[in-house]
Amino acid sequence: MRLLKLTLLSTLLLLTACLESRQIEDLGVIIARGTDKAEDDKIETSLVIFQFESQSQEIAKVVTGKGHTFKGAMVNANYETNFLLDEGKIQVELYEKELAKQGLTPYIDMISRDPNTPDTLYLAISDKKAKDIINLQYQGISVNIGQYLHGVIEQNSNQESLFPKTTLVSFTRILNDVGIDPVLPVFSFDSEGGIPKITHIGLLKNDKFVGQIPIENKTMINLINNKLKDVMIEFTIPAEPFKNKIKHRNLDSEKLYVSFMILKSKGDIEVIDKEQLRFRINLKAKLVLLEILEELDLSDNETLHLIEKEIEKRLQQRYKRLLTYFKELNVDPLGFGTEYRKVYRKGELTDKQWRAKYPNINVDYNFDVNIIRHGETY
Amino acid sequence: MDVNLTVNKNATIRASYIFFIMATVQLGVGILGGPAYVFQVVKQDAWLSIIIATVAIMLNLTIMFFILKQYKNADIFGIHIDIFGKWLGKLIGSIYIAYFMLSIISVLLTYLEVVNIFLYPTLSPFIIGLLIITLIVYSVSGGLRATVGTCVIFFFLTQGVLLFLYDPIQRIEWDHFFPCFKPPFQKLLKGAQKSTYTLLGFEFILLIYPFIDNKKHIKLPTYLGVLYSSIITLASAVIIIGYFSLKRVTVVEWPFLTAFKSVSLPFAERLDFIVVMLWMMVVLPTCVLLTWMISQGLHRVFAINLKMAVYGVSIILLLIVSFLKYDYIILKVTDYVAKIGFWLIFVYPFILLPIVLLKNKIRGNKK
Repeated sequence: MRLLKLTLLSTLLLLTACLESRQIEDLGVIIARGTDKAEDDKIETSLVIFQFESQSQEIAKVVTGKGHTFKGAMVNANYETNFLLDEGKIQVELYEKELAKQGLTPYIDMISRDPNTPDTLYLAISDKKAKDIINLQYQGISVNIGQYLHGVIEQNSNQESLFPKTTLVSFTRILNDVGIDPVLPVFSFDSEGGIPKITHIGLLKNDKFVGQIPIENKTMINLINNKLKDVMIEFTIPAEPFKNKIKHRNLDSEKLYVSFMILKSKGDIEVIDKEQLRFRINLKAKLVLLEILEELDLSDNETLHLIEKEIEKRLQQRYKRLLTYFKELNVDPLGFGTEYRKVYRKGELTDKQWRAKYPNINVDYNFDVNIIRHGETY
Repeated sequence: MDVNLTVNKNATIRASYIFFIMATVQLGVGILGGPAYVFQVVKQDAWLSIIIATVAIMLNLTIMFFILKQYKNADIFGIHIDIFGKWLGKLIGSIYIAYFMLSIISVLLTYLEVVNIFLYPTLSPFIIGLLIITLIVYSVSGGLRATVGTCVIFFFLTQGVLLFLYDPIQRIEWDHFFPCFKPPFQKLLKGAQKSTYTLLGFEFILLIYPFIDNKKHIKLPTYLGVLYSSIITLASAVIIIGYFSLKRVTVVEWPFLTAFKSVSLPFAERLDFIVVMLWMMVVLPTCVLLTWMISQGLHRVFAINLKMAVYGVSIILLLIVSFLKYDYIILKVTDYVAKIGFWLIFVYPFILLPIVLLKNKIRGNKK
């Protein structure tokens, strides 16, 4: 009886054969995907794949496919390779700008529906055809282009959850939250064989690309939405107030160029008056002076205070300029609406309601910048 | 059939094990998607509803204990026979058994669907079902002590999964919880009702009570067990509200599982696959306990041999599990379980209590 039971039970081991097996040698592991618009509502995807072949030296390869859906395009791309394409380790999704202008929702839907695609992949927009970036063969890149793009995004946000590190998780969350709009890094490259780099921050209104601002503003966005640590920032302040403090002029310029490391910062948005739509940006930052192109007497307390004040002014100007542009496009990447939603108690704040209110908001600034160190020298 | 059970001394269990039973029977597949249903009703205040539900469960348990205390060593089936007579008592007992059957079906179906969606889309549910049900039969046919032992072991084996939540917790957007206390109290109650599916299972106390060795000490481990599973449910609700956008919580079918997708460790790129597999260890004790409840019910109400009942139930389960595949049917079954469970487990004891007390009074007067 016992033997019979054991035999019966051990037959269960045979069931392991029922599982579909996928051997790594047969797989083309997709690591980056570029998506372009193609004719009659189709999309064209260019895939950077890893293939583990013993004979070949090149393990990365690019294949392209067309279809109405991602899966269709993938099947189509599979005709180009003898490896079974698999999306399990896709790291970067690159969308053509034209596609992003039409709205990214359909493409986001597919990647968030498929349990196979990782949620930690990065999203980015390509200035020109994504296909061109993916197909780029550049001497200076030692790794393949998929890993390169991933690395660029990773390196430029030295902290978790900072822009331009836009993962699928954070993108879908911001996309669907009322009162904040997502931003995506925009890659572009010179047509004469240049290297692709992040040049702009793409502004999205819901899921549609509507405008872009230079990448230099990334810290401005990060300052408000995150606590920064160890981030460089450069300022151009007028030289006029420092007339008496300058020991020796190096550049004959009316401007003073300084760069800092943000040691620690904390920024947030506060609703002052919800009826009048008054907001205030509070920002506290501790800076370390890294570079200054004129010789100032930094041992003097007053000079440092003067620099701090000028920086606060400069920051205000920058935010004002950004906000004017944001209001013009009616996008809210800084998330004023999130704060408004928190105090809004007349039912649920909808996207439409907030968009109607957003251009009329007033913003005050409350900055507190402190320079606490200035390196090895005065 | 006797109202009171005579339990052999070597078949009893210590009261402290109730903690593990409560912690495993309540947490099954419900936690994977359950909090999202609460969210549908009360939005960001879902956590408040879960707290209300927990308090309600505590109250409910107190009443259950009170009912059980009126008898020497009875379970819910015996009590029904005593109060409503042979036929009606058996009918209500059968309703309980049917409900337990329905809940184990919903648990198994949901888990098999999760495996199909996350891991092996083409694998037939029959095969995974066969493997899990074999394990269930193996543990339940070992008797109550083996059943409870399974719970204890798997309780300790699965707690590690919670550590992986460190990543979703870091990504929580606390803004999502504001404005708080927005919905009216009625809605909060409605939300609490929606959380029943996740928190059901504590009715196990109605069946295991006669088997407890030291009945005096039963209350503390029970309450602690319920508290533990409520805290886990609460944590999962907080995580999914903060992690997903308010619009998306309701769109994702198993938000708790999807939250694991963002975890990545240097030696394992994707943790969600591992979590799905580990979740079998969470589902298994739930199924084992439910199967024990069904077979014990069949044994008590219809006087079927315990072993035969286990075999019979598992064959029926296997058949049902391999034929029901459609997502909407699974959702419907789950919905029914939640609805029936609410009335049968949450509300019914409040009706039963006065009847039991009345009967006792009449009996006392007669004497």
